[in-house]
Order: sequence, then C-alpha cells, then structure tokens
Amino acid sequence: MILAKLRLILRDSPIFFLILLGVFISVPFWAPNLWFIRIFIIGNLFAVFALSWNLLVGYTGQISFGHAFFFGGGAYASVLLNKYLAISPPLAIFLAGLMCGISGFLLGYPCLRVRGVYLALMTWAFPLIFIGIVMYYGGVFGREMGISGYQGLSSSYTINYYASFVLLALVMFLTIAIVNSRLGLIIRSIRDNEILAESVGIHVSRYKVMIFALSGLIAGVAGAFYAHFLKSITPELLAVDMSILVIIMVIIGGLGSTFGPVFGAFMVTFLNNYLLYISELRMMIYALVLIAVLFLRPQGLLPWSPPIRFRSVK
Amino acid sequence: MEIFIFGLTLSLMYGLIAAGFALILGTSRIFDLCFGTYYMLGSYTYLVFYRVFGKIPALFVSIFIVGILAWLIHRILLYPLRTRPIVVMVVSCALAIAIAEGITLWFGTDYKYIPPMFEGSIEIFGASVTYQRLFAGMIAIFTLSLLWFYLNRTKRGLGIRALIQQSEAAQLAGIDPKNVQLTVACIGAWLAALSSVMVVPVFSLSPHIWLDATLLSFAGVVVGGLGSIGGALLAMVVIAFAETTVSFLIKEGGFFKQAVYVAIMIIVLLVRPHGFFGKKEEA
Repeated sequence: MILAKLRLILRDSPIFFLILLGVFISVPFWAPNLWFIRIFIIGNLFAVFALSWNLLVGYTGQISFGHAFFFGGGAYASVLLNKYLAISPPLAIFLAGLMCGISGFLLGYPCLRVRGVYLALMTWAFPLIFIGIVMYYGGVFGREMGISGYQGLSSSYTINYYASFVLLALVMFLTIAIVNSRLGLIIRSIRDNEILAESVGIHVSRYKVMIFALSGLIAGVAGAFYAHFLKSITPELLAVDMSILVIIMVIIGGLGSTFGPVFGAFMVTFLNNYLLYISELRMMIYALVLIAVLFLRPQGLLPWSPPIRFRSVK
Repeated sequence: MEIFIFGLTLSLMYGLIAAGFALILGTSRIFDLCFGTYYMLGSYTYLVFYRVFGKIPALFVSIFIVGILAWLIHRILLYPLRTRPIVVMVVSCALAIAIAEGITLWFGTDYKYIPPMFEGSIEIFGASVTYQRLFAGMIAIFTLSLLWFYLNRTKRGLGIRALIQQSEAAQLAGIDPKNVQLTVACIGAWLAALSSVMVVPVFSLSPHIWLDATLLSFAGVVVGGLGSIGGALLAMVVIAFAETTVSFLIKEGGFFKQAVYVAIMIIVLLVRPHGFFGKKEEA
C-alpha cells in the first residue's frame, strides 16, 4: 500500500523528490553545526503539526482555531507521564498521542455540531481553558515556569533528527494514503458540500469526529516529541500564538496540499530561528507575509501534492 | 454585597465593549479578533498622552487615534476579505498578536500603572467602592444611552439597524454597506477605547489584555446572539457577575478569567448556537 503510494509520488516527478529526500536524509552529515540540525528537527516536528492541521482543515473543511490544545496537551501529557510515572520517553510520546486522540474524540463530538466561524470560536477556547488549569494547579504544571528536569528522547542530535524525520515521513504517507483512499473521497466531499455528502448516505459527523481525533493524535505526538527534544516546556505551547502559528504555516505553504504545509513549517521555523534577536518583530513579519500571500497568491506559495487517483468507490 | 456592586459596575463597563463588538459583527458579519487590540491600544495611547495633554484631552485624543486605526484596519484589510470569514479571523488574529508584540517592544511586558481619572473611594452598604468604578459605571450608562439615541433616532443609525436586520434589502434601499461598516468599526473602536481608559485603572495594563477583551466580547456576542446589542448587554451582566463571583470564591481565581469567558461561550454555543436574543440563521 505505502510502496504503491511511494511509487506514485516518485513517478510524477522523481528527480525532484529524490533530491529532496537526499537532502533531508543527509542533513546530519552536511549541517555546519548542531544549531542547524536543531532547526531541522524543530522544522520536522512543526511540519507534522502543520500536516495534522491541514488534514482537518484543508481536506475535511472543519476549522480548528485551537490546535495548540493538542500540541501543548501532548507535550504536557508526555512530560508528566515521564516525570511522575517514569515511563520511558518513546512510550510516553505514544501514550500522549493516544490521549490527545481520545480527547479529540471526546471534544469533537459536541464541537463538530456547530460549523464555520462558530466552530473556530469553540476550538479557540480549549487551549485557553487548559492554560487556566495549568496556571491554577501550579504544583503539578509549574505555572509560567513550565516543567523541566525530565528525560529527553536521546542526547544525540542525529538520532533525534532521524526519529523526527521518520515521524514526518510516516505522517506524510498517512496523509497521502488517506487522501487517496475512500476515506479521502468522503472527507473531501464533506468539505466541498456537507449537505450533499449527507444526502448520499455519508455519516458526516462520524467521519468528522474520526478526522478530528486523528488530527489531534498526530498533533499530540508532534507536541510530545517537541517537549522531549527541548527538555523544558512552558504554557506558551498552549497560547494563541501557537494556534495561529500553525495556521500561518499552512496558509503560507498552501492549504489543502501535501507539501505546502511542510514547506510553510520549515519556512516559519527558519525565520523563527534566524530572527531570534528581534523576536518581538517575528509575528509582525509573519503577519505581513500572511497578508501578502492571502492577497497575492491565495493558494499558497507551494501548493504541491501528488495527484489524487480516483478509483471506483464501492 | 460586594459581589453585587462590583458585578454591576463591571457589567456596565463590559457592556460598552460588547456593544461595540456586537455593532461591528452585526453590520459586517465578520469576527474581528483585533477588537481587543483597540481596547488595549486605548489605554496605551492614553498612557502616552496624559502627561502631555492632561487627563480629559488625552482621553479624547486616544479615542480618536484608536478610531482612525480601526478604520484603517477595516478599510485596508478586513473589508476586502469580508466574504471569507475564516480568513478574516486568521488575519485579524495574526495582526492582533503582531500589534501586541509591537507594544511589548515599545513598553515592555511589565504591568503599567494608569492613574485613575477620579481619586478616592466611597462606602456603599459596607463595600468600599472607588470613585473610578462609580464614575466608569455612570459614563458607561451615559455612552450607552448616546449610542441608543444614535441608533434609534438618527438617519444613519436607522441605516445601521437596517443593515443588521436585512443586509440585502438595506443595500437595495441605497445604503452603502462599505460606508456603514467603516463607520461602525470606528464607533466600535471608540467604545472599546473609552471603556479601556475607564476599566484599566481598576485592573492592570499589559499587552496581553487584548486577549481578555476579545474573548469577553466574543462571549458576549455569542451569548446575546448575533447582531443583538441588547442581548450582548444582558450577556455582559451575566458574565461580569460570573467573573466577580469566581474571583471572590476561588483564591487566585484571576487565572480563571479567560476560562470563565470561554466556558460560558462553549456552553451557550452547544445549547443555543444562535444565542439567546439573536435571530436564527444558517451558520
């Protein structure tokens, strides 16, 4: 299944993807310093985060304005599991992702009854409630200072890099596989015309909740990995900035495409790290870029995806 | 008793914010997340100008500046994007964060002290109430009645109300939606800035208060119903009392301020998606 998809991508523009793949695989060998690898690791994780948002919004058409809830929630869950229950980081990351998926399922059911702007408002609220809890139960969550002093995934940047790259590749293939499958046809029909989809017998709310939970799971894994890589987390992972940052990544790269969000995520990560000295101006630059993209190139800077094959749907 | 008096004055001041936001939302059907930014900027411009001009002129100058800024934001960005509500939310949220960070760059993150307009306090039924709260409440009542007069007794107000009720029909009758939307954005920003200068001395000023104000006005509009100013005002009474009660009952309840707003918002969205006083419409 996955091999077939891989062939499909490579057949369409093999040279480009081989070069890109080569560049990505060999990053630890040609990177000038550790800081550069670090940017790539964070870029990979943000790309996973952006892909999870893109799966929900770009393909299913359900707006989430608070995806930081899953990212930050995954981070907190994994860190607490590791710190208080001494669960090893890989297992903690997996469990945290699972918890995010389950909470996405539980929250998705009531949430997805409302649509459009109201859904955006509602999802916007969840990370803010989470922040309230984090601030109130300071003993466990560490308030503004966050949590540190837990195990990292590995001290080697190379291992971290490959792990995050494998995660990104997995999520990317998952996205492509979903979009090319019957499920992909269904979710795109929900995005394009929900009433029509319902009238041809698609259980719309079931699929919406399913994708919501899946998206939450992916974002949770990315957040948990991020927490174990940085070795300290703060409530900023849950802030509005984070939710809006992922939206900016996806819109700059190209909403509803497979490679656009990854490109956007890397672009934002690189800007983030090269503009460290004027950190207060970063958001202004993103806002300007976002506005320019929206007005001049609304489909995004790099809206590439492998062509969708339509097959007979049973 | 303290809960009652504090809740009452707070709800009046919040009412100003919510009325402004309900106006903008009602006429243009867009969720302007920058609304809290107008609120925040109101206090910061006041902070800059009150040393130069004195208190009362600084109030007017800051309100004027914020109004112009809101007009520009709506004219350049939000009006051309008005047919895509989600994009409007994204752009205005990014802009709000950007402005908040710009303010941080200029003034720093620490809490600023804004001198109250009126000094002193008074004892009412055993509760000590500062004059600032009292006068803020009175000014809120005065402004809201001015707003009522404008909306119900003038021709432009009639146009605004027509646009809120039936957008297409109003446009057929010759009301320019662009003109009205920009005017209303200005009025909304004025109300936000005015209430900001009134409220902030009671609380504290930092660049992050934009989020509080935005959430507050959103909760008010969602509870009250889309485009219903009276509904938004009533909703503010509920929210202000809820907030005061929570902050009295729970120690360090200040952390739950935002959570209270959004919790109310979520509950209402689930129970009555079109609010309690809004008309039902296709979401």
